[in-house]
Amino acid sequence: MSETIQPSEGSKENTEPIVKETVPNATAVLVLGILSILFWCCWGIGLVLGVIALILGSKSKKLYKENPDRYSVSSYKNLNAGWICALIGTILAGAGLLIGIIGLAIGTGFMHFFPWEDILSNF
Amino acid sequence: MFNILYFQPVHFLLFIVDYMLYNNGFFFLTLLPNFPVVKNSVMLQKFISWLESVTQPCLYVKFLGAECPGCGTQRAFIELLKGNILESIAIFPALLPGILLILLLIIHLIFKLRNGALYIKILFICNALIMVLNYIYNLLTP
Repeated sequence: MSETIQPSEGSKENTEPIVKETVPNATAVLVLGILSILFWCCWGIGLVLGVIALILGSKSKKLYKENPDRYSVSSYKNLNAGWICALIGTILAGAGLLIGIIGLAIGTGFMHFFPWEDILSNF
Repeated sequence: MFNILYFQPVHFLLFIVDYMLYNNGFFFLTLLPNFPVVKNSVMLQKFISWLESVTQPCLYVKFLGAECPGCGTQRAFIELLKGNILESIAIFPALLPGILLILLLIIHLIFKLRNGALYIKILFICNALIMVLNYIYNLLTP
């Protein structure tokens, strides 16, 4: 996860190559973002993983945009891919949960309590 | 010990002919799981029977009566372990891309591919699309 850059001509004293840092939590965001869709419907695990990845990824993206020269590009690519995966996974998991809740409400709750027969018989 | 690695040279020839006759054209798909060493292994059979014994009904099926987008993963995985790849795809087509995605992720994290993040992104979007389309198809065709 580290890129080495040869030192410029001016700094002959510093012979060691400059090692750029990785963006914090880049691999974690990538792994969590991919796992978020594989655990889409496992009792809301996918939603939790996706939200965690989104929060971590947003923090790290902000850090990278504050000074891009400090961090390596490859780790930022990982972070960005993980963030997009987490976004898709969270949206899908949220939609699935919403469909489940709406279906549960329609199937068990207010459709049965609603006085359909009185309304229909009055017509 | 000897049961796990049970292999005779005759089996190899027999199985090659078997692939050709059983599903002509797709014999390469069943090459690995039907390999005699894997097929006769006691550990794999025990694992499959354990997987078949621990099935739990999905919460969506329990309360709503309709399947959730992830339903069928375990059935597809069992079929895959038995070597029936086409049946596995028919039950839940997003399992194989999901396994590929995990493998690609591990390879990318170890060997640091140049465009690994891009490949992962594309495969992930394909996987998500397959899951969504499969769910819509399952809902429309009871």
